[in-house]
Amino acid sequence: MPVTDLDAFSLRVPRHLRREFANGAKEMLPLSVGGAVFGLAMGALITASTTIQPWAGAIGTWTLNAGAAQLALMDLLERGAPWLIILGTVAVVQARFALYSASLAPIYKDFPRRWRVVLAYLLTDQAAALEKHFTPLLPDPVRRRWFFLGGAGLFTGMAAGGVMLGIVIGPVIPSSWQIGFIVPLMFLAIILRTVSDKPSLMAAVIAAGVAVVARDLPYGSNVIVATLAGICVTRLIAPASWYRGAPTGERDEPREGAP
Amino acid sequence: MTALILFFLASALTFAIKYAGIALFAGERELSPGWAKTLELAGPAAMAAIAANTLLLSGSGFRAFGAWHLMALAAAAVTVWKRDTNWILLGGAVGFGVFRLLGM
Repeated sequence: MPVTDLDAFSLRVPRHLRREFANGAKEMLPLSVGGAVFGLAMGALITASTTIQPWAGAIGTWTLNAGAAQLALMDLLERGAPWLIILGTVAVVQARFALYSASLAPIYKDFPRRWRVVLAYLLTDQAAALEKHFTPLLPDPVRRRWFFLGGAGLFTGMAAGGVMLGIVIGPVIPSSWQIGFIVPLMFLAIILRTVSDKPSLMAAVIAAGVAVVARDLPYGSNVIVATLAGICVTRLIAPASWYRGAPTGERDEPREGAP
Repeated sequence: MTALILFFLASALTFAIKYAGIALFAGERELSPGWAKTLELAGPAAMAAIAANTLLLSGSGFRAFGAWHLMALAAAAVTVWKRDTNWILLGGAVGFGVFRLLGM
């Protein structure tokens, strides 16, 4: 191996792969700044919680690595919902990742299993969009996976880092500021940014309406009932021509959304 | 400790969902268009339900009209101008602060 291919920090990682890692991180940097801001607000929210200790929130942030699901979990836990309802809601919020990972499966198939596991953990809306976009430009699977690791790793690191910072500065925020407004605002920001086609809009409107109408359902189950209603009713009545990729039903690429 | 266990369970569930597609569809198999459409609706529906639940409801009743609702309108107005998550967050947060200062 030529000397120039050796890594400055480790003799096991060639320089050209480190460069791909850095390139991935560089491409993801603008989106990662947004992830850090999102994380900062989430961290402040953790410190305002009466049911989650800051250290538990910090550990949970790293293990979960899913902003929207974490918000849903924290909100339902605060409302005293049973675990089954909370986990069901988390599953529904995260269901879109099954779609992302299915669309990324052909891209990941040349990677060793340990890489697939790590990249699956690091998968976010932003990482999925980046990886789909850059795959045609990176035909070599080894270079490709280092590029993905740099991009997805930076996003997760900055988002979780933002949460840690939010946990540190959160206690100085007065309760009169009603920091809880961040929960609907963050979900609204994701919805307003990403809902662009008729079926998604219809599902969102139906789910929002049912969540309000079914507010008296026990254990905070109105959220999961409303979500399922939005999905089922839209699937039943939305014409096939409304979906992206119609009339073939071909899947579209993941879109930028929440961390 | 209870919250941490719940976080771990949610983390395992989330990882299983993220890895499922990679494991199941690495070969020739493809996700059917019907399932793809259904999964695509899950995110918007769930997030809209949670947003409505936290924005419009407080306890078992409706939230009194005020800064929370106006914050949502401010966020929507920013979306018309700039369809970017960070700008929407900033607009909504600034709007909420201003409405609170105005006593709403």
